[in-house]
Parts: sequence; structure tokens; C-alpha cells
Amino acid sequence: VTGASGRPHPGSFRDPSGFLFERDGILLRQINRTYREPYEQLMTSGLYDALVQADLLIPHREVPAEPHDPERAYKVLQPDRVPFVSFPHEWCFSQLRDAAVASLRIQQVALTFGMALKDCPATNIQFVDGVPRLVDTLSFEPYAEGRPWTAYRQACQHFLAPLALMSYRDARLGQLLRTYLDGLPLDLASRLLPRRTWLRFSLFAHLHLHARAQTRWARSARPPSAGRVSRRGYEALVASLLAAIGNLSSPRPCGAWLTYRAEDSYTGEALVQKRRLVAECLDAVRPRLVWDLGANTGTFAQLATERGSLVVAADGDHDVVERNYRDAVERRDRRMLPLWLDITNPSPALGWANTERPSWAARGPADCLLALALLHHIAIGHNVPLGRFVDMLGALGRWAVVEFVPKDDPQVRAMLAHREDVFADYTMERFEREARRIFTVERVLPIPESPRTLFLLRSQRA
Amino acid sequence: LSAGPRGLAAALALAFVGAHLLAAQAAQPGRLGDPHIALAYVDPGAGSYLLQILLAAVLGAAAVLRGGIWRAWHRLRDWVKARLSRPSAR
Repeated sequence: VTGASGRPHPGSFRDPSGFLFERDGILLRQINRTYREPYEQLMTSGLYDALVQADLLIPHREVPAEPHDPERAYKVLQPDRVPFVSFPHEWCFSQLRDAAVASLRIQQVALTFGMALKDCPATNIQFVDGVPRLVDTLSFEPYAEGRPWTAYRQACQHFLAPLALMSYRDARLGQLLRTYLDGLPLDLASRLLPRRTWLRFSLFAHLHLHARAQTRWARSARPPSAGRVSRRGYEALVASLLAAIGNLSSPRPCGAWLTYRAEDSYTGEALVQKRRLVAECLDAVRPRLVWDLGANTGTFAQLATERGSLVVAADGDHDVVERNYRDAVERRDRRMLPLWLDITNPSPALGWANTERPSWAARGPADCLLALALLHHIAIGHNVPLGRFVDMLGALGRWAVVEFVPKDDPQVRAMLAHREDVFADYTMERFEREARRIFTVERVLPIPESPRTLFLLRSQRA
Repeated sequence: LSAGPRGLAAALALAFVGAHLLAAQAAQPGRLGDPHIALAYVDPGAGSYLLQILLAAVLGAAAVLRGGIWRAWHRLRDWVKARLSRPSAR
């Protein structure tokens, strides 16, 4: 790439129609000349307006900025920035299903305007204001009757295959998307799915038969123009995929955390006091972006969303993320972004040259971290020393609200009941000493009627 | 015909899907050299591509059949309703 200043986005290089780049902290999209006609059709046909109004596409505006590669440039757009970028392996079943439904609805709407999606990767969808939206303006091409849908394979690999596995086998299989960035290989999905899925026409056709067709014709020299698909057939194919995905039932719960209730660790009054103290801390910090680490079903994350913060509510248990997401959708909490993420092994940098998808840590820092009833699980459950826990907090956030759970707490006693106590350093004094290396301790707030204590920490780097 | 009504139904369905497939093949646009092809940077996969042609024919034919049955049902229902609501000649 030649020319002007700015930095091409490391994950935007596959589509020759254009690419994202960043200049002076502003994210811009260059449209190449080769994409001139489709872009004009998108804008003038009414499709762009229809999709933006339906909350299916993020809006953009054309800006007079200098392109990053002027020789190939047609226009420069400034898309609305996604407040927090997440990836499909961090989504629970319902999030991935909603993303799939949004993609296929976009395809249906596009067809009515004489266009079609030329690609359909799950990463083209991002959750903005709680709603899955397409973020790639360059995903459209003119629909030509007779031509099959080029993104059909992608739609099956990125959406139907992982969703079917999560629904029929185990929700945790969704983590395969962390390895298979271009969607699940269909032969693998076909092998892992139970035999009864052969009896469902949609899964038989789009997955099992599809997997065999891929193997059978992998090296076929038949030109892609050799076959035609009628408009009616094309629409029926998309409708069939949509129905197949919509009919998948939610996976059975597979973790223990859904039955974990905050009430079990506190008396009624202690819980009320904890809520009050956490709210007090949030009011003092007034963060825009909060990461709730070990958020469970988002009880305390809600305190932040109610105060206008965008909350990334991370938890390593699929079922609680699923519950949190569904509850947030039900109460129309558009500031809650539940993510399925194990704090002890968060998403690494992935893809080409390890730069295509940034790691979890690289997407920070958050304005404020919530680490409530988390420390004992990390320090005792996962043998992570207190110093390393504090290092992690310092790397991820400018502020942190941390709950210290002492050894005489019933939860910690239960954790130590069947194992050797090798945690001589696990004391509140040691935690505070470690915290002061990186943070300023702004407040120490004992939770009334509970042995637990809240710390409000401000990073010295902030 | 020796297979009975099921065999006849299967043969008719196959013929219907075949006709749908042939009709789709008659559509002209989308050949190689079409400038739009240059936009499609995603590899559709040979197997996926060919399967899609077959599935689209089956699903498209099913959609036509379903539409036809639906229309016929509505016509029948309207006809019965009209007969029932007609005032007695006496």
C-alpha cells in the first residue's frame, strides 16, 4: 500500500473492494474504484437507508479525507465506530444465532433492492447498542439472476454448523470458532452431530450433504458458470437457512454457575449494602466503558448500565452469558454486552500474523473494571498469585472495584475444604500491598454484615 | 407405475424439480466474464456451489408447490364460504 499517512487496519485486507485504515485516531474506510458501481447502487437504490433504519447496518458518512491508497481510491467513508469489538467465539448461542438471523435478513432485504451479500462471515456482524449489525459496507454486490450465492458455504460454516453443534451436542463446542476462523469445517460438524440430525431436512441438506459435496467435488474443474440458480430457488435457499437456524433450540445448560446465586454468599442486608457500595464506586468514577470480570448473570453489571456505562460483562461459563444476554434483550438493556470469556485464558491475538483479531487485552483499557467475588476463584481456584492478579487489573483498566473475600468467608472455606491450604499469602494485607504497586487505593469499604471488603483502586498510570 | 401411487408421486416430484433446474439453467446472466464476478472474492467452494444449484432447485420447486397448494386451498375455502353464506333459494 502506498501513499498517505495512516495505518491500515490489520484485519482488513482480504476484500479488493476496499479496506479500513486509521488516521489520527479516526477509523476510515477506503472504497476502491473497482467497487464504485456496487457502492453507488447500495446508496441510491434505498438499500443503505432501509438497512440503517432497520438497525441492520452501521451508518457511515462520506468524508473528504485523503485516501490511504489514492491510486486505487474512489471514496473515503467514516463509519460509526463500534464501541467494543467482539468476536464470534466470545458469543453465546443466542448471540451467534441473532447474528446469523441478522445476516440472512440483510440478504433477504438486499434481494428486494436487486443486491446480494457477496460474503457472510460472522465477524462482519458486531453488537452495537445491543443489536447485531453488519459493519462491512463493502459486503454487497448486484444480484444477477442465475448466479448462485457465493457466500453460501461461508453462511453454513460460520453460522449453521457451530449453532447446530451447540444446540445438539454441547454449547461449549462454540469455542471451536476460536480455532477455525473461517467457520467450522462442515465434515467435522457432520461427524460430531448426532445421527438424528440426518432426519431433519435442513441439517441433512445444508450440513451433512454439504460436507459430502465438498469432499466429493473438492477438486472439481467444473467452471463456476456451469450451473444456474433461479431467483425463486435462491430466495428459497436463504429462507431455508434462516428457518434451519431459527428452529435450533437453545443448548442444555452444561455448567455449574447458572445455579450460583449471589444470595447464597450474603445475607439479604449484606447484598443490599454491596449493591449500594458498588453503585457508590461507579458514581465516583463515572466510567464510559466497564469490564465486569466474572459477571455471572450480570446482576452488578446492571448497576453500571443503569448509570449509562457500556458494560462488557465477561464470564467463562456459557450458560450464565446466555442468561445475561437473553435478560438484557428482554429488558432492552442496550448497554450490556455479555461475552463468553474465561478470565484465566482470555482471547489471544488471532489470524494472519497474529494481528487480524486483537487479543482481549489489546481491546482495552477499560475505564473501570469490576472484579466482584472473583479474586478467591482466581487466587485459590486457579492458583494465581495475588501479585499477578493485580498486574492483570493494572493492564486492563484505569480504575478497578475489587471485592476481597477472606479465608473465613463460607465460600472460601468450602473451596479449601477438600484441598491443602497452600495459600499463606492470601490475606487482605498482602492484597492491599500488591495493589499499591500499581494502583492508588482510593477507598476501602467493608461490606456490612459480611466478612468481605470492597476496594476502589485508581491506576497510577491513568 | 408398478410402484404404485408413492412411486408416481416421487416421479412427478423429480420431474418437477428437474424442470425447475432446467428453467434455472436457461437464465442468462452470471457467466464468467461478468464484471460482478470480480467482486466475489470469497471462494464459494466447488462442492458448495454445485450442491447449492441442486438444493435451490429442490427448495424452489417445493416453494412453487407450496404456493400452489396454498392458493388452491384458499380458493376452495372461499368457494365453500360463498356456498354456505348464499341465502337459501326458498
